[in-house]
Amino acid sequence: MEELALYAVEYARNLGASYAEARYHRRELRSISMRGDRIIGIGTRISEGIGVRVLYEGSMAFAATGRLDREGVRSVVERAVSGARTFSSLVKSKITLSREKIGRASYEVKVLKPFESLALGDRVPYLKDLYIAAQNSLREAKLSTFIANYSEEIEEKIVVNSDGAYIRSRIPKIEGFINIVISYPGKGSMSKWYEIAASKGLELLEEERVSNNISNMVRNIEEALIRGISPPREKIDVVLGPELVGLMMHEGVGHPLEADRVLGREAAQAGESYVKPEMVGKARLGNRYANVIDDPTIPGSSGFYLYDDEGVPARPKTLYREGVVTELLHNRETAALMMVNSNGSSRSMDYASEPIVRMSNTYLAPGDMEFEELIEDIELGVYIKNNMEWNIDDTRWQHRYIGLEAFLIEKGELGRPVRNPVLEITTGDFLSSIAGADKTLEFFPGTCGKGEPSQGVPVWMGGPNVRISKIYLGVAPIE
Amino acid sequence: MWLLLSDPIYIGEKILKAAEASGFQECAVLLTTTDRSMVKIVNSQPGIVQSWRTYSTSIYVARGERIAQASFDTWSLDQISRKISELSGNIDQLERSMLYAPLPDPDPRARPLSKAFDDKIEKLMEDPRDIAEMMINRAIEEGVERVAGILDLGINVKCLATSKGFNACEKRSFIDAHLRSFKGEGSGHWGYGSRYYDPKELEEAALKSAEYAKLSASQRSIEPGKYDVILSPMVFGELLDSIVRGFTGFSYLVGTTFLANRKPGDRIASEVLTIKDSPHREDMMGSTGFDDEGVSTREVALVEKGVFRSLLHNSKTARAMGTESTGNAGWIMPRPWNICVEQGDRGDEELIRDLRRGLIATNNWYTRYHNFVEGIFSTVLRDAILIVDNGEIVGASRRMRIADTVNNLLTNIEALGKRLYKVKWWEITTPVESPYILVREVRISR
Repeated sequence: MEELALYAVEYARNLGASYAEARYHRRELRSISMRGDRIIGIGTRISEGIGVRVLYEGSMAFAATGRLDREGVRSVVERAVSGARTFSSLVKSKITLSREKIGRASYEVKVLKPFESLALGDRVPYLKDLYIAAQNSLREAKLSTFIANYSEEIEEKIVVNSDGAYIRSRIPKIEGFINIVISYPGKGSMSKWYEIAASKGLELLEEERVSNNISNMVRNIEEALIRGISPPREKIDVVLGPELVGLMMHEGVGHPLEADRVLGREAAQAGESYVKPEMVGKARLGNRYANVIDDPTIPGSSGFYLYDDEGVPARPKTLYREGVVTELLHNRETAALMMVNSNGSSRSMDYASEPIVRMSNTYLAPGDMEFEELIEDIELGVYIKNNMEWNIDDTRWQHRYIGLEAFLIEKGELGRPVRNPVLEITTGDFLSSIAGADKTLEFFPGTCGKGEPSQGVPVWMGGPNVRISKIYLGVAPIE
Repeated sequence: MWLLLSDPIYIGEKILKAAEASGFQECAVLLTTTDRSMVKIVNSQPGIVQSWRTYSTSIYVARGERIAQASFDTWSLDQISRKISELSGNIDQLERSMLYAPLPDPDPRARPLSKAFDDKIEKLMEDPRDIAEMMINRAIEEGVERVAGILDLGINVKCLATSKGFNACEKRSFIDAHLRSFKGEGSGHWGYGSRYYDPKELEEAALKSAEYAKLSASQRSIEPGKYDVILSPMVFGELLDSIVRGFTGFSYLVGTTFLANRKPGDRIASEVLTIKDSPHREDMMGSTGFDDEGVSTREVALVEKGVFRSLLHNSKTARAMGTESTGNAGWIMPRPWNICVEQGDRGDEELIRDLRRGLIATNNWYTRYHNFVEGIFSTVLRDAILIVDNGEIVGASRRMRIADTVNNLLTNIEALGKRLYKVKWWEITTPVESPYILVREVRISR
């Protein structure tokens, strides 16, 4: 495959491309799906091919094929070059790439317990146990839906380009996804998507206390469903859990600091950004607690990589430092436009996807308090541990979250469950009203969607428990 | 031509034999070849031109009521045969599937559509520059500052072979394009998709995006609350994407739908609303003559005059619910092909007059459910949100949300437009044809 990728780059250059890049990309996945304690089926998927990206007279094109022989590669290269050439007359602002130190490396994630060490069917008792744990945790309500999808995957890539990149990588990934609905007569129902994921082997299933997590979660949801009260209507202090804080950092900081969005490349898809190029290094939108990092080098993380898909070395990026927009996420195209260096943020979902600017593992830096300290002087407040519904506008400013596991804080202690509290807040209001953060740093997985055709890539999102001062909570409509 | 019809039939038969040799009692093979080009417009010029030539193979196998699926982006028979044999080793460790049903016998009515292909699209793929340029220029000529969007076109051939003896191929084409125009504080966005090339429709998408950008160039804040709202086909189309997912037999069986406590015959919407799945609308991008099990597709009324009529079934969900397939397989999950909302009796301008006072939501995204069963959701309105007073557009609002329930939304529909629009863009995955829709008392939040 290496030879085919190198051939693609050489052939594109011979056809006149000023830059050429080829990525052999293979993802092999196997999965089990269950409803309750019964199997629906098993599955396997292999996605394998070569994606070629070229620049021709400042015009960019990408082409991909699953046909892995010289003829297939030749045809796809010709298509890419011809596409770029055809449209070059319409490209008034010519596309260039920043000059970078490009990597030549080979790396892989070593696992403690390889997927092959167990037969696929041996995961079934584990998944059944999770269902039983959820079932047994309920005292009064009914577990009306329990759907589990479990998958394990090996992702392999060879990235080469005409600037000398040669990056070979092999990363295992594991993902579990559970959809739970709990119902109670006269109170309706509540639901949660629970997910675990990491770039690890089967050891993840032993490290993560999934069964305990599900039991606790199900119990809390049951309490909220049956005995949950509406949140106070006055302005109160609100404490947000790491899962919600992580999601807010992903949606309200990571996405708007993607340089391609800032520059309008996603305008007709996921939208643009509240950040403008001139704000970098200057604009203060948050307070001293607003320190946000995107770090692809966290071992075992879902967003793990050491070199990006343009061959640029990965590194942690500080997006906000003490409330100031510090650094955008860049690939080589956006870096050239903004006259900076790429910080290695180029990722692609599979061989058929162009590499674009992406997050990896995005989090709010933890503070120095204990959780108890965070809530001890709150007379009346709400702790929102996690959420179900959420969305944000296309400039990434106005957020909305509906809390799922949520509790009243009374006289400094967690108390009665709160049902369906709605947090509507702007990114700026959140970042500037953080009154404290505890020492926790917990990560939660997700699949981030972007680009057209849409690409979903695995990420982690995280942070500490965070207190924000004096805000209004709403309540979601209930039939 | 690159897409050779003889190849998939040959390969399909080979895979069926490999599955039989591995001891599987049933097998279905779905092969798709796609030749596709996409121009991404960024800041009023091409940002990237993408093209794909892909072979995709999906396989369903069953033995002793245990089921497995596999998919490959390759026609490498060696690789596929190895995986079939691996699945054969794995499947015996499993219990019987709770959803198993035998593959259906070949359906004599299941025939490929003959008019799902437009050869003009094949020609356009060689150089789609003129259309891309026309869309950019038409919007810019209307006075907008910049545009972004997508022009996506291609051809594909889908072939299905089953161990029950079904064997057919269908050749299709598609073109979809969406454009977002910007002016001042405002923006407008419109998308269109079809199996046929019609430059007038593409031009109209560009003009509508420009018109909405201009109408929303200056914006003001409005207060959250209940508003009467006209939903554009783009907005209702996006909402139908998730609403119609609730009509699949799978969602119903596993209890993840707002229909969980309803049954066919129940009133679930205003009597002016009729929604159908229409796979034989050959002009629409989801059209097909047979489903993934080789069952003939047909028009299925989901909602008729406000009454819940039918779910969408494959043979598995149909068997579990004691009914018959509606020709909507997906081997595990049934799916809609083309969602069609029946036209109403009002002109588009008449709807605005009838609205009298309220909002026109022209585009949205990010619809998320707090709870599928209760149908509690919110969606972010983006691009032009037009303010109507006294039956006329008097301004535009800053971004807001609809935060309501599916039940409220469907029951509060008062009227529908006469004109139907075929809409498709990034947020609408199943092709939709819908008119503008007037809904009373919609909960609007920030």
